[in-house]
Amino acid sequence: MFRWLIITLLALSCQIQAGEHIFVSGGPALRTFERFKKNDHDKYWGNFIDSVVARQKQVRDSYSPDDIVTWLIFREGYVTRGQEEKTDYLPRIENAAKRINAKLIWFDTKQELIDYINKGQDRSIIKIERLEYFGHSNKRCFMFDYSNRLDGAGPDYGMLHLDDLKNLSPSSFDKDAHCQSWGCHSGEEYSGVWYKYVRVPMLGAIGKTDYSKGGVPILSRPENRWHQ
Amino acid sequence: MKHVYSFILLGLCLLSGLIHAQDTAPTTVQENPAAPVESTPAPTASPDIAPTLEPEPVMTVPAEPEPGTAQPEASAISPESEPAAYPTTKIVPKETKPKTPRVIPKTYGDTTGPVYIGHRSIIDRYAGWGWIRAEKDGWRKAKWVMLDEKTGNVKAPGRFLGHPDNDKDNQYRLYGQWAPFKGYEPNFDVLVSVFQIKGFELIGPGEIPKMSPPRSSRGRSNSDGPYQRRAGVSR
Repeated sequence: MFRWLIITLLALSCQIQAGEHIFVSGGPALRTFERFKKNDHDKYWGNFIDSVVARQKQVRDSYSPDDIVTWLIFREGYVTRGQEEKTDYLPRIENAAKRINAKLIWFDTKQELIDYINKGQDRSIIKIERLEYFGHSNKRCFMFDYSNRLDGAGPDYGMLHLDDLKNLSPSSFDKDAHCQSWGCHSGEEYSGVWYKYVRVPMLGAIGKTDYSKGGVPILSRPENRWHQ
Repeated sequence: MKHVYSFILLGLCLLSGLIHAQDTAPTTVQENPAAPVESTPAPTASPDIAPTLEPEPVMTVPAEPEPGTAQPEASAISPESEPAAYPTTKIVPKETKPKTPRVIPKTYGDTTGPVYIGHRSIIDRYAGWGWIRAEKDGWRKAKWVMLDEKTGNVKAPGRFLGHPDNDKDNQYRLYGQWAPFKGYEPNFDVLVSVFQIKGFELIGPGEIPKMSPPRSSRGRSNSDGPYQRRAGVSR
């Protein structure tokens, strides 16, 4: 009887150790809107796709064998950019997800993202060990849709604002989870409010980040830095 | 005597060879692809050069004549002086129509349903299209709006002018509806109304409403901001 109890406890502890690594990609802007701006964005449609592939290759060795890799991507941005360029980008993105062994989940609204974080898995067993965001942002908002549906702006359903963070469940996250925003300015205000509600630090940039070199984004200026 | 005949025969052969060479010469000249795309007109044919060797008919016609400019060199050589096999269709410049000026159509799209009055306005480092009010209301009840150009596939009127900002201070009768979602203004951290345009009628230039768009009580959110209408603008 005692032996069975130990085996059950061991099995449970193994289950709890399985974690989830989540990458979130926002969508690109439309060239129709951006080409008139001095500092235009997203000449290349796949900034927030290629950077995730590169990042996943960078960190995959730190995963446990049972860990889950999930890639949440804002679908509407890639559909409309594809229509603009007369190319269907969705199959390319699906192939990229296969290449990095990630489970691809499209989302269309911020609520779908929040729901996945809170209850996309059995969060009593599978905790989020990593959450990294790739996309447009300012210091108060992740903008999954920026200059795509609306010129120079975005619809409210396509962004995760500071005010939305209270809807995230802190119990979804492992206490040692690595959270990072690769968007611009997140370290200036977003990271602080993230910690207040999620109880896990988020690394964010003070200043802008640069995706134009390909691969994992870098800080755009030497004086910029990471902050949490 | 035999030698005399042989010389005559030889002479005839040489002569026929020369004539053949004259016939084929223009073709070889035309193989030079660089000549027709010369950007500057070449000098006209010199009279002491044999017509069989001259590439001048190509060069006398500028490759890209500007509309309305005179082309005296083209008329200096008459069509009769050109060889019969000359490929005139290749060197005649394209008929370039003068560009029609870009204008905003007086009426565009679906112009049925409730009427709104829109004033195109540009505020530096503030996203949006301008002010919109119901036809019966005054400007005091106007809202700062973003245009949703996707739903009805009707673009903002200014895009007809090439640059969306070129219709500043124009007023329009707008047709469409308020979107069920708001637009996030990323520089001032506020949500503003979104108008889904389906058609418009041009009214013309109008006086700008003396109003300010909404701003966040928490202050600006852009730092440098993802949206910049002008580069290098200090915060």
